Amino acid sequence: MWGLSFLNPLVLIASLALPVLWWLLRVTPPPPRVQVLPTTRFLHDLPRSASSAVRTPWWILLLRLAALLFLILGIAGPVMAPRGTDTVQSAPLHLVIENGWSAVASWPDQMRSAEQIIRERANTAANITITTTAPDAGDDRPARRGPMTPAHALDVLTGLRVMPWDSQPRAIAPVAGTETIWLGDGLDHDGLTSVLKRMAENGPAGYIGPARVDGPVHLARDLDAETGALAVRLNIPQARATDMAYQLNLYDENDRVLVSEPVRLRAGSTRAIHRFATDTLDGALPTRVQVAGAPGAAAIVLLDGLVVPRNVAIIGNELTDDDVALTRPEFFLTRALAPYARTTITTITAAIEKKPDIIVAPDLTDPDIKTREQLIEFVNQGGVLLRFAGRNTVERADPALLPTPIYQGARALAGLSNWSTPPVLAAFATHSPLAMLTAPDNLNIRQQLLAQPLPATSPIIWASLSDGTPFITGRTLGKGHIILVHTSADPGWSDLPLTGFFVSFLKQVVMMAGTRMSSAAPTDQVSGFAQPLLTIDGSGTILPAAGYAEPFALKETALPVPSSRHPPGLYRAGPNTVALNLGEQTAIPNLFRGPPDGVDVTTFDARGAVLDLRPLALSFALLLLLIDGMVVLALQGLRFRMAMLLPLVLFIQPAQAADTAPSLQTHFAYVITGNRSMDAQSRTGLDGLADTVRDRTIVNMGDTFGVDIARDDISLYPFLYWPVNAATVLPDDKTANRVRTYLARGGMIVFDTMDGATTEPPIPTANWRQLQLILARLNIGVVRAIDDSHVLLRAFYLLERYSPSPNFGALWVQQAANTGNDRVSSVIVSSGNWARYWAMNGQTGWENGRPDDAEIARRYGVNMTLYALTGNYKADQVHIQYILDRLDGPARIFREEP
Amino acid sequence: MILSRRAQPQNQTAGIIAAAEQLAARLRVGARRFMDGGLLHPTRARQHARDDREFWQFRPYQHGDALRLIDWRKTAAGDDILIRERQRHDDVNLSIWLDPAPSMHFTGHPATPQKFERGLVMMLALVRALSHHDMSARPVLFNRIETINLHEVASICLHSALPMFDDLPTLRISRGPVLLLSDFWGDIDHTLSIARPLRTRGHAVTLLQIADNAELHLPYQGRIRFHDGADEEIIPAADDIRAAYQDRIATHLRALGQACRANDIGFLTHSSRDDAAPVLHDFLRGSHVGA
Repeated sequence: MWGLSFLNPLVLIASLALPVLWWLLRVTPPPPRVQVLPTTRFLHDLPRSASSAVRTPWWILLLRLAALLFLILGIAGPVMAPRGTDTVQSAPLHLVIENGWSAVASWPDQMRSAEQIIRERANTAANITITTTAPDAGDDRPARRGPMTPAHALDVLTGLRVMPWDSQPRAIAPVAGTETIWLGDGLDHDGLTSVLKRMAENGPAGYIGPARVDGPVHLARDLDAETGALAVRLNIPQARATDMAYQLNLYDENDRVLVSEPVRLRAGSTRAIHRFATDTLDGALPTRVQVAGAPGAAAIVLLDGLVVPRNVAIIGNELTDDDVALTRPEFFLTRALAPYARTTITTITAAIEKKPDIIVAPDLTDPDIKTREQLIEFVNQGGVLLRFAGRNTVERADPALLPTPIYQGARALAGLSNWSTPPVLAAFATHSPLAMLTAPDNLNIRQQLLAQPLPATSPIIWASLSDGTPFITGRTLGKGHIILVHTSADPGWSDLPLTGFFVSFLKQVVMMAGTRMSSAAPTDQVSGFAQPLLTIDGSGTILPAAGYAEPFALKETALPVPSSRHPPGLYRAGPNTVALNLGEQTAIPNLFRGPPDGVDVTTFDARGAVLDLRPLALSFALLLLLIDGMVVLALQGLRFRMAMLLPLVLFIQPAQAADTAPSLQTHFAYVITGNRSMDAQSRTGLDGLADTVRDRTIVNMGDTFGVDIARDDISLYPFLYWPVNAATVLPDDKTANRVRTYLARGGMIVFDTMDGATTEPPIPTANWRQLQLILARLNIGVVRAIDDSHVLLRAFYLLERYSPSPNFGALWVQQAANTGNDRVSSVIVSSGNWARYWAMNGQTGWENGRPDDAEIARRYGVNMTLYALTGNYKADQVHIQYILDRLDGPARIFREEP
Repeated sequence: MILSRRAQPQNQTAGIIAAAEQLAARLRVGARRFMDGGLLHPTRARQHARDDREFWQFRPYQHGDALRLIDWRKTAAGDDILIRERQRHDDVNLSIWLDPAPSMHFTGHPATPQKFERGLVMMLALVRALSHHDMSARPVLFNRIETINLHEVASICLHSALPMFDDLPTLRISRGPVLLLSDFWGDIDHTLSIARPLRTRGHAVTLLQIADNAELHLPYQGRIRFHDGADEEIIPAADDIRAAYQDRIATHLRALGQACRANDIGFLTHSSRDDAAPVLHDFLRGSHVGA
């Protein structure tokens, strides 16, 4: 049942003025046309017919009043909406809208539904209260607005935003005597079920959420990774049936993309870990990681570091390709430090000359006296000397360059002759500069340098093993520090370089450089407040620090959870920056499995759409006014000018008609052949391909359309699938011209003979013969078998020319030289019956460790789509080396392991 | 004044003269008949066959002058090309008056020339056609400018104030016939009150009415406010009154024609949409007089 309502019912009062307008219009006839005529005096007192009255004819009056009436109706905003019972429609409404960070993906649906619900009550006197689940900026509790009129509620709605912090459903109280509608993001927030239960007890209650939770993307640094490289963990709330591809971008301080790498989320999985190859950064400092195209504050990880980047000199030899890198401490140190500092590998004398902020010396040989003095002076001036144990240190170590004297020789903690359980890293003492870090519980230490006995509470001991022996020691010398890690910087003595702790520890050391640290108060460097520097808003935009962002105290414990007072973003603490990342301080909520009894559940899609009659009424008013204009011109004898207005009348169409046009989104289309099974297969196939393309690329394909090639406008589709069999009707001349124009303007057609012909040249099957007739009619020249260098084979996936399956068709393309279309082939001819395979979207796609035919077809489909959309972009020479490397490497696509 | 003269572009003069030259070429036979037939001065027609004119003045050559009028001897003595102008003692001219009234600048359709423009072409064509036979046809202008140079005449007519219809009795008009070019939409008695004294003074007077097609047929539709600067009339449906209007116009023309005949004044009517040559032939033939 549908009901008519008005968004601005007060405007209807204006219709009361229509009788006055009637009178005014009646006594004011249309103005006459002015004409000079020297014989005007001969016109005096000529006999006239009775019809030439000076008042406006009644039918013009009626026309104008009707136009005005429709204008008033249009401004009053008539909407036709599905109607429930009248009692519910007019009852006070409590609209709860989830707007925490996780609502970013469903936000457009939530807003659309909210608007629809309010419009349904537009002509009632219903009071509407709107509550948002996330507190407004600077507030502590969710905001409640209202009660208010529907028109006011619509205004309020336009001002609502997704907030970059958590929802607080628990803090929301029911509004007495109201119907509650909860617009959720499909996730189970803390206390949601209980508050919905309370709402249901208060009155009618409903929950509207997405049919499928498509977001949000939740990104966090992964410090538990095996090596020190920068790693991120990507989470989504609901697993997908097919593999998902995301693009992770690593940005530098100037907002340039340093590295852009894909990360794949396997079908059925909600989590993926990606490690960036930071050794290729070449000195650039990454500042943030962001998922390309994913909205929301949780899709960004800001990398904290230093306001002024520190220079780190690593004493050692440059890594070359011949080295076995994994045995070299320089390798691990470079990779672990890359995200936080500018590193150079050099000799000790060169390092001192360069005056770095930190000198990292893995297994330092005692230097000569001059260098020794220079090193001590370096530390006295504020430098940090970070040393690791090693073979040289075991033999001899100058106590002046150590935090504490050590015993000669290394202590073996694990081995054949060692019967005791190897000690592990103990929890850090509260006075330790490393107190903010978490000690790994699985650190395997095989060899250790032993320090001469120290009191257990000595500030020199920064970290110790479970047996009490010092593991990391440090002391202040002048303005600087000397730090010793009692194991090596390569995996020879321990697993330390393979842990996330290694990265955290080095980062902590880097942040100490240049800061004043007293051995008496080693925690000073983490005390004080972090002042807001940058803020990430709910949509994922990085802005200068918001006014409501407050500083937070740096404590020994973890950072605060992002909130309306401490929004996610970058904060400044002395010379360092602290990143408050949403993804790291919050967990991704579980899916909302269903509300308690008494709460109606529906999805955004299941609610009927509101029919907005405004465009119709306004268009009709415009049409009547145009007709009135034409009548006036006709009365003035200006029939020619009247005829000029006629085309305008034809152009008047209700505005919403444009909504259904496929011009706003990219759509697949297939040529309707008239054969029902073929057409159904084309539709399901292209629907499946659209899903695949949506899942694996950033192309957001819309619905699939069937086109009548003789009548429909095909210019809106970048890609047309045209199955051909022996019964396919040949296009007539007019149609052929349209198709030629379509191809000349950049369109692409994929012909499919569906008979699996793989020979070259093909055996002329009946379908192929029909195709040749069609190609001849369309004036399409020679098609040739695709060669290995064709861009289509690498537009997205790197594909081989032929599939390994004998059932699978071959591929021909129009000779690029003939196209004149920037050397892009406009016509692809195949026999592979693609649509049948594309329709199998969601199935495994792997067979004996190799992609099956359906998977190959999907990959070809993705490539065809990208080829149609980007042309020969991938032919750019910039990619050649990369593509060659991949082709020659072990990751060749058909040898890839599932 | 609502009816104002249209802005005249510079090249309009050239266009008018070209049209006049073409029209004059078609009038030469008629012009010869006009001279020989004695209409100009029937009693002296034979004498005019002899050249009995005396030298009047030398003047510089101007574009449009006949080459045979150049005095070569005098020209050779100086730097300028000089024309020898002669004049009979009993000089008889065709005097042409063109009405400069605002109504003459009306046109009912962009493709139709203004009545004034058409009248100017007719005047210049007559000047040229008659001067080709060494005859005098002179426009009636203020200050009695004795020129037959087409450029000068056109320029004066387009850019200077010309005598109005009511000024005619005060002007000195040389002996000979008088041609009055106007639309003559005014009161018939008033028209005759000006034309009749001219006839009484011995001039053969001809009224040549130049009318616009819109004035004759009222081809308008719909609700229109007509005005002519003085009068105005709102017509709710122009179609309704067209027939009655045409009747009234025909009555006016008939009455004017009858009044002219009664006073021995010639009367011709020309629509600016039509070719001007036939009506000028009629005039030169004298067929309108006493018809």
